Amino acid sequence: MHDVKRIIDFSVWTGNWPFYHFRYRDMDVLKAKLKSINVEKAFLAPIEGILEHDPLRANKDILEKTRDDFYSPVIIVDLSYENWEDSVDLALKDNRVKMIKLLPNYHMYNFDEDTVKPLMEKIDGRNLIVSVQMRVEDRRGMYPLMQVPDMDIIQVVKTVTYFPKQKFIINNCYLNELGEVVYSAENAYVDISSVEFHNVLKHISDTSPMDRILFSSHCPFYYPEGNLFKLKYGDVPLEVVEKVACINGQELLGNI
Amino acid sequence: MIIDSHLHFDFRVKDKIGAVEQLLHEMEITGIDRTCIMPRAGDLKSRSRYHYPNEDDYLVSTDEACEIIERYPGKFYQMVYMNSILPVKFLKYFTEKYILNGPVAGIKLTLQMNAADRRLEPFLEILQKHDIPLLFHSWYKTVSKYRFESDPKDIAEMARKFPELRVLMAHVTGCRFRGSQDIRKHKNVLIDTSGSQPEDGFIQYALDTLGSERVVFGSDYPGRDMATQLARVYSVDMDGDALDNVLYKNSIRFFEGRKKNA
Repeated sequence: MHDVKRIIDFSVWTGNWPFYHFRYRDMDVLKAKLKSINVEKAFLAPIEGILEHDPLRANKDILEKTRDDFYSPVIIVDLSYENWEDSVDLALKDNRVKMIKLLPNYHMYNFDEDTVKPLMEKIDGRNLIVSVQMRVEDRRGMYPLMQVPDMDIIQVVKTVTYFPKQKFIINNCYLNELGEVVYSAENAYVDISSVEFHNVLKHISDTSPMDRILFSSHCPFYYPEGNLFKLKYGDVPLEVVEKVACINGQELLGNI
Repeated sequence: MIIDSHLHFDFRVKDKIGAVEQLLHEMEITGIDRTCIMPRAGDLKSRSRYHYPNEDDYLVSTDEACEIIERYPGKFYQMVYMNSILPVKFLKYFTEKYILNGPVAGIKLTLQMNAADRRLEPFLEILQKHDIPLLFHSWYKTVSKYRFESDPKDIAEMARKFPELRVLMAHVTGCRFRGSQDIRKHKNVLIDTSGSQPEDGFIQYALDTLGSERVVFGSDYPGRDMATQLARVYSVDMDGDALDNVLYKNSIRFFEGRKKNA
């Protein structure tokens, strides 16, 4: 069992989700929990920015509520809305923001080169990571009246490779999708939050380069111990665990 | 002590002993002492990969699985992933040979027949009569539902018809909150902790609804990571007695609790 001393969590959320009353929905409760498992820094997005019409209110709210440097607020951008640049401007004007997040399947637009290009031009040279959310929930368990398809990883890889200077994180990939990204898109990182198979970290390290694999807990949708245990009980050397837990993330943040 | 009540093992691999040793290695890393193990009938010598394995598939593959598993005393509860459309005469013969007079601990049922199907009743009568534990796949699905796949409400209907049948309903995360409610009044049904991603909230709900005596740790290995699934149990605040129930005591009662002379 590895002693994982330092973790950067690249995807957590705060706020209310209409279908479940999350126990770690509150920022302070979430922070206490994450700190208890040695998370030093967490990238926090507003849950309400997923489903509210226009995420701008939720984005302003999370900037206001973020009071210390444990959290780095993540701005959700809905490219289908005329005012999407207003949300991007919030990110560009606030040096605490290192990441913006896209949820094309929730916001109902195509994640293709033409759609993404105006965003890429606007943030060019501004050192922002772009997170692309493959899914938020397991489709099989979604509320029956609200079904949102997963993103198509083939389309995602094609699109991100068109913008090679931009760093992307593809969040909540499944195991097969992780391989597609790390093999084919050198400017894209993948988090481990939804990657699962037996002996999962060993499996990833046997089949993929580990330089672009990051830790995310996807809490409060997921219990954080689930992804922590992938590291703690990982059947790989401690150096590999530390790369995923922290070092790859530090390098990414240092290079943007 | 930790017992994993829901584990699949792929016996199709060439080096079967090596694969078992690898499983034992992964159990050791995670601190799991013992597991249920469920080879599919077609995984072994018969090589059938059809949805409905035939009688020969079961006889050949169960013999081979028994031979491998008996090399590791105290490590596995062998379950058989049974095709329930086979003739009742065969199901009775199989039960007598491998469970009542053999090493197999119980039966796993999944997608060959829905739990509420009346055609399943003769086999369930055999299992109930002999107090044989039954693990039954179940999942409420918004999409990707399999033909004949049981919802928790189907498990509840089966439990209503067979109130003495000891059932472990699989996949608390797939069953969602509704599934725990479906089985609440059927005390003969337990629920296992496996299923899907490390989604939060479902164990706590099951504990609140059913009590710790009816919640059983299971990983659904190899599709899932043992440690990630075990964390689902540790992510919930439980007192020591409740934790022991979930991690192993309920499993022992389920797999070993068959009444003598039943």
